[in-house]
Amino acid sequence: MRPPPFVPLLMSLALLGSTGAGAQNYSLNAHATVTSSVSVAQVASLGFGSAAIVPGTAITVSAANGGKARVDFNEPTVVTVPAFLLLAGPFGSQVRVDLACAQATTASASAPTLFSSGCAGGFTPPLGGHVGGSHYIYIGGALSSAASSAAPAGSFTGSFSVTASYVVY
Amino acid sequence: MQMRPFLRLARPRLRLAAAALLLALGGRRAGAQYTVTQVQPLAFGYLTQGVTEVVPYTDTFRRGQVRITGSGNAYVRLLMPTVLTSASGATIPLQFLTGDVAAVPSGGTAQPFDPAASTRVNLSKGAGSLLIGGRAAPGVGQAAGLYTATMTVMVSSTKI
Repeated sequence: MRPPPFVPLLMSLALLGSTGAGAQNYSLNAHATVTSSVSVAQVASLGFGSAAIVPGTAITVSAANGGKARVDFNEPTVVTVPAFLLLAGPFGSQVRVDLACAQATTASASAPTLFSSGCAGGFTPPLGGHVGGSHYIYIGGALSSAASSAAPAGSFTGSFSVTASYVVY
Repeated sequence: MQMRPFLRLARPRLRLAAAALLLALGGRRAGAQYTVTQVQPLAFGYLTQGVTEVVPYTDTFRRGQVRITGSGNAYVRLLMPTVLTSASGATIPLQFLTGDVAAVPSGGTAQPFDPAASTRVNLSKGAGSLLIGGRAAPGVGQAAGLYTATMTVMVSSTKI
């Protein structure tokens, strides 16, 4: 005699019930912090050349031919440079040099891209695909005719900082 | 069409049987309640780019730990994440190998098990625990920041 049709159905239901009856889910957290790794290194100095500057004439060094710094980073990092610096010369004299900043992904760009907001406005090298990398900052300078006309003869030097600002993890 | 006499008689019985089965299932659920509480999260800590960090389950400070209360035997299965993720969407691959996690039955010692399989935890003498280690492998250019993941602990009175 064939079993009534509802018996296999009941058996199936009972089986399903016994395997899934007590399963309960809970959540557990995991976390980590990847440490910041940002550094700035000088690649080349900004120089106006070996030829003497004639008083009363302006002289400009383009960013592509000026100083250069390399920035290594693994998070969004704002790189800034002062808008100008004062070069110190003989007898306590000073001359002002206005800086122009540009950036590129390579160390030998012939036409690096100028900072849109000037040196002091900074530039943030982008993370590519959530991965850090390296970027190059190019710094040029301009000495005005007025500044050079008042300067005594001699050698003038100065220094400035390339600053990378970031959140420390 | 005329109904066969057997089914005509069986219909009320079928309803009764179904009702009894539902009651029985309800009772089974009520008897298999477990409570799982997170004692501490799995904390890989500070990671350096390109350096894989391993947290063994014996690391009392960094391992994840959950406490399981209930009665009898509990079958436990872990659903592990494959990555840690940052707010910006960056990810760090995760690995959980055999021996990275262990179950501690009530009154017993830690017993490592394969996190891809389920294991049985004896709760007859009180609460049991799961100790969860793992491996995080940040890339060479891994973006800095905070990364998180969620794992799921499934507990059942029957094998899962």
